[in-house]
Amino acid sequence: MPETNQVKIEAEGVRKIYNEGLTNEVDAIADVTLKIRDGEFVALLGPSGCGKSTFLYMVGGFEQVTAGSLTLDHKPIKGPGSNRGIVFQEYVLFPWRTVFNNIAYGLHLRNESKQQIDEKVSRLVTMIGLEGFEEQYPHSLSGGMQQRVAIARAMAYDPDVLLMDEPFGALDAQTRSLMIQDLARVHRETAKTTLFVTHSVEEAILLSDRVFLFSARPSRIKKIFDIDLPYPRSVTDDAFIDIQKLVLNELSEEVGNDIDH
Amino acid sequence: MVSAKYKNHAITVSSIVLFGLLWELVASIEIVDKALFPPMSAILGRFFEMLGKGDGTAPSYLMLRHIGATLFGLLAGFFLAALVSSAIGLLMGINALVYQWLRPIITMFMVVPNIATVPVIILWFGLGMKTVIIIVIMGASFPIIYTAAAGVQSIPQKMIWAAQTAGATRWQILRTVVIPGSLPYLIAGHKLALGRAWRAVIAAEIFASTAYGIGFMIYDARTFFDTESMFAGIVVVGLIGLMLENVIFKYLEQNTVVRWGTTTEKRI
Repeated sequence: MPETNQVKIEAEGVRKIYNEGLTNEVDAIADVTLKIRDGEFVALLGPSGCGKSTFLYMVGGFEQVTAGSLTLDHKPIKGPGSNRGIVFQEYVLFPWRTVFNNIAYGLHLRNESKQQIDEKVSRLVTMIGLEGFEEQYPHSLSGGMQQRVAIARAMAYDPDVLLMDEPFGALDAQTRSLMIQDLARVHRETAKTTLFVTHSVEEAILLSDRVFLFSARPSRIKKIFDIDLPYPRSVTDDAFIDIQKLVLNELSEEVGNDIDH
Repeated sequence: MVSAKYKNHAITVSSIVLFGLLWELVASIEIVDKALFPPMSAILGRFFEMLGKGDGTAPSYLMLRHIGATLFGLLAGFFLAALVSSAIGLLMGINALVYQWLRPIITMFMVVPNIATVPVIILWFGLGMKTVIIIVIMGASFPIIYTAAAGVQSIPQKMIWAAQTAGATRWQILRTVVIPGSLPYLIAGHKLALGRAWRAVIAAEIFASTAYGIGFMIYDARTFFDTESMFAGIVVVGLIGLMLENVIFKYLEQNTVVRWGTTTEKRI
């Protein structure tokens, strides 16, 4: 990771209430203040329903902050835009587009030349290891393959920030650990600022430079962990296990709190 | 794959042939008077007789004229309905306010049997093709509107978000996500609508046609106690309907929803 200290995303007292003033009001986020540096890989970790995905959607511009300020490159986030790429747990590929055309989607929107599109897409297809599947439709691919396509689709138009919402949550254990390795490699190659929402401590530590631990709802940042381990990381390393214990302890407090509510 | 396809065709054809044979058998037992329940051979005989040059008492190629008039009314009405109703339905699916305001009206009109509007349409537009087409439009519209709106609403919010994040404008989202995403529903709605259009065109022709059309032919034959012609008309409607369904929709489905794995029907 290139060590720049430039702040990419900044949240200052961000608060989110759904359906404010109505009977089904939900106080999702109480106060999130954080800074994410350019090129950093950050995990947003927390108990389920804690508002970490909500925070991601606000960075994506899909949801508006209720109070506080949320900036990308020091400009307030007003809506979605192609300086961000998004990957969802459910892949949500376009079923009517082939693998190639799914990845090329953002490039088609910009009317890039065919030659340019071919070049970029084939580079991404190689990166995600799906050579030979370019003309397949998503429904014929496995979950892991679909998620690889979704990641490539989000990266194709070269956004500054990659937003990932529990991207490996629907995958089996084996596929997941392969995907984690591949994502770590891709991040080292591209050094894109990445926000990675997860409830898996293991995923968070294997991938991130820093882990932001969200408290139970209405959430705050409970703790920030610096993960200063060399790549490739392994779940059997002593250093990994030490950090994992630390994070798990903090997290279990929150899960307990959540049940008390 | 190919052999399965031919097997399906074979079953389709065989089931129809078998039905015809059964009809022939039942008619030949003469439980019912042959004049009321003519055998299939007589019905088909009448059909081919009307298909060819007349013997002087009737105009030549009469059946083709009837079929032509009916198909024209059917398809003109169906395509106009498809165009307008798809647009209305998509708009309802996109805009919640439009949906809330139009839904009660459309639900109300949908329960009114098509045929109930025929007398007033005749008063407004007179007898003839124009009236037939309008009645077909009214019959075919509502299923399309409903399913188009449902189709848009079936698209996951996150898919729209993914498109927006890739930089899609509203127009690009409509073209690249909303329309292909609601296509499975649109196809199902148009199938339903074509069925409704058939009912509408025959009903309309019975009341509003002056010379040609299968509905007119069937009703006209009643005057002469000509059950063979009546059944010939019914058989023609069924066969053409089956062909349209198999040709147009099967082709469309094979190249879209079946290929994408988004079909709303179970594959047999």
